[in-house]
Amino acid sequence: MKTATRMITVLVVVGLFAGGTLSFVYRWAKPQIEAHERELTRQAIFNVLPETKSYEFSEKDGVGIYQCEDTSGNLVGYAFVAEGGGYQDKIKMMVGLRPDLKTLGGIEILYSRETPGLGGKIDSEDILQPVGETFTEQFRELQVSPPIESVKGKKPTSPNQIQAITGATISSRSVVEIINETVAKVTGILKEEGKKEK
Amino acid sequence: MKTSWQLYADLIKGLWRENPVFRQLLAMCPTLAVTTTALQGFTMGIAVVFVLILSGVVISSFRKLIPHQVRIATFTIIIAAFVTITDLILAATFPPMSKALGPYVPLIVVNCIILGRMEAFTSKHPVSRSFMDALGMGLGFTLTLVILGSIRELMSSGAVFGYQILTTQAAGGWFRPWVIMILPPGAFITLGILLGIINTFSRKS
Repeated sequence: MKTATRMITVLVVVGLFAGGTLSFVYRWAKPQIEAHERELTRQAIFNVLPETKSYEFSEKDGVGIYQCEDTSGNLVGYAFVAEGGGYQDKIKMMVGLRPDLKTLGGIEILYSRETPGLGGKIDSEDILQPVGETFTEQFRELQVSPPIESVKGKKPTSPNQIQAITGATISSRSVVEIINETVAKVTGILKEEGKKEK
Repeated sequence: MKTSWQLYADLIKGLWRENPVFRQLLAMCPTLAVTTTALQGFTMGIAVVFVLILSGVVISSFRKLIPHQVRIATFTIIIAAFVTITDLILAATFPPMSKALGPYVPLIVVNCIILGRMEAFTSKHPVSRSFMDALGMGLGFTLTLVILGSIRELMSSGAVFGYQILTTQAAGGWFRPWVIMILPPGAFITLGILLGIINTFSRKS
């Protein structure tokens, strides 16, 4: 009985102490981590719509949309954050959509914790064969209408297809599904707004 | 005099005679996975040193209070707390490095070197000796990762710690980078050759 009490006491004390210390460190680290994330998000806008010189942020129906313009003030597209479930954890990415709402400017992965070496390739410099591009490069100027499809182990044949990563079908499919879903949502919002203006 | 010699021995054994990677073949997962560049290997090594020393000092100080039956559970909570702290500090101060190391920092929790040292050494020895043991083992691990990382980085891009040593063909030199060295097979090949060399030498002596 005495040992049992001692065991419980020690574990409770250690647990409480560890938890307390962690919450203290977390409170210190959180604002800094968030600042880095904001900076990454800002950088990503310029990567997914390379012609962007300035952008304007607005929140429409709960979705944050960056309206991007080039140096002479022409609309180059819309950038927005797309988020959804991956294989192990959520996948978060920046998506650039052209003004015709049918073509992607590109995508950039902001956060993912997929299996290193397999699903992790959604955010790596590895060139996929036979398509000859990295996973994210495939989304440059990709058609999103009809929705994007992923094909396995062969070169895509239609302008709305991408090649999935071998051994990481779920991660590849998740990225495609997240983009399709978010693009549909954003397109809906933007079209609705266009109608109102007319 | 005897105690200071003892402390020195505790420190030095981790560097060579009981080197965690080369002699004990522990912690193969981070050793193979993060050593694509020397800097990544170094950062991973320092993270492990940090966790080893802090958990070593804490566990060694309270070793007589921890009941034998729940020692592993207690060690794991303490180690996990320090690993999470390390992960947060890294994410807050060096975001690109934190992104590059990805899940391998949180995975230090299950690193065999740490739990192994706590169970085999720290739980039986006073704070001063445990500190030296943790420092030695941690530095031994860091040293190994830096060696592996430097070799792989040199062979795959002609640089070490980002400093260009060999001029690549792309930059007008003669060196043609070995792509395989940055890929997982490169890690196995490098580690295998290094282990072979070390075993040959230690057998002779």
